[in-house]
Amino acid sequence: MLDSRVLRVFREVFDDEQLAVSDTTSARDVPDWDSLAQVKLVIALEQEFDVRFSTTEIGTWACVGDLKRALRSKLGAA
Amino acid sequence: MSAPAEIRVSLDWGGGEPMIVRWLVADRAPVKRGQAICEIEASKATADIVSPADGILVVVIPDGDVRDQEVVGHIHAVGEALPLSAAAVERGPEPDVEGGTHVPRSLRKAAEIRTLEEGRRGSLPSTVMQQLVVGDLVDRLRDGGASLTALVILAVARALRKHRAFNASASDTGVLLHDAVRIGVALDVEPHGLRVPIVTDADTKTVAEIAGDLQILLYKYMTKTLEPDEIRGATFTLTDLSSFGVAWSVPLLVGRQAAILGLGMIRGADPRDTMLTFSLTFDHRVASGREAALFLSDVRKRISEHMVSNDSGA
Repeated sequence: MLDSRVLRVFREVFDDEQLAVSDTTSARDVPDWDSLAQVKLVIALEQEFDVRFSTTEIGTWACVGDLKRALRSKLGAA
Repeated sequence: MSAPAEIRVSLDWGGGEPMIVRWLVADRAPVKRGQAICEIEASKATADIVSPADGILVVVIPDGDVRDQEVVGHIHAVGEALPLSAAAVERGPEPDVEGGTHVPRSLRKAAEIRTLEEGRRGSLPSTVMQQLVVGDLVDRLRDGGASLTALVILAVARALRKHRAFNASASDTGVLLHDAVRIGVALDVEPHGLRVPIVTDADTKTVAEIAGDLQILLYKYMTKTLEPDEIRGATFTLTDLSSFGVAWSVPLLVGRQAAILGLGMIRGADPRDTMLTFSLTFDHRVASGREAALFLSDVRKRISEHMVSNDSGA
């Protein structure tokens, strides 16, 4: 469930319905994944999952797996 | 004829981002010294500005965001010729072409115009440019979790420590060389509008740390949570249009800052030919063209050295 919702957010942010991501996918695998896209992802994920990341967390994720772990941690603690 | 008395915003009574709520006296109406003439709001508190003199009120800024110590109006002596009203200046001359749709200027745009007009007032702007072939540096920085903007900020911040005239505020009587290096980074993402959050002490940080700072500022910008001290008091500005396909630009001076750097990029058919362009607009009252060229060369050299010393680019 979480995986499919995360994938949907990625596809919306990058405006690519064919985009596929795995836990090891990182910025270097997605051509348009720059610092602006990273922030758009964070904000879109916050809205999708109704969570808030701290500013110190932003940018600490090296790959999609890191991002999902942070999300699960937030959702588990909620 | 005496100079008109200035009506300035003063935040002695509070902090935050001030804005004019309303003028309590009509433009061009007579006022008395000490009379409340304008209502200002900041940090959800309001206060009145009182007239500094007897005379005729001439409103300079009708409404919207203002800055601490900004001149929002003047008091002219009775009988003195008055300048065009703010409304007339705002509206401008009637266009020659009939028809069309009038789009009112937003408060944010009006504030931007005031800041740029302040930079133009009395300054002697001049622009010098240099180029640097960077090959695949941009991609390597991104893959390393950093960004071109972060690297340029680092190079500029360290160069400013050596070339202090460009980290300064100019005035009619001299120059204030700033101790702190606070680099404003122009951000303009739809629909959030132009904002210039500040990276502090970049000369003491790594590229990765600056990239992290930028990420946080970008997040705050897009969620409208920037604090006043994160957008006030820049000593130098960077405007990076390289990701928009802009080859080069001629940036305008901001406020009283002595210089601003525009970053552009020309992508060659061969990625190895990718070239950065640096456009430095500076106030000739503060420095010469030769000094500006030396500053830009220093920035360029620092980026070149980084490219050589760090294979990942980060």
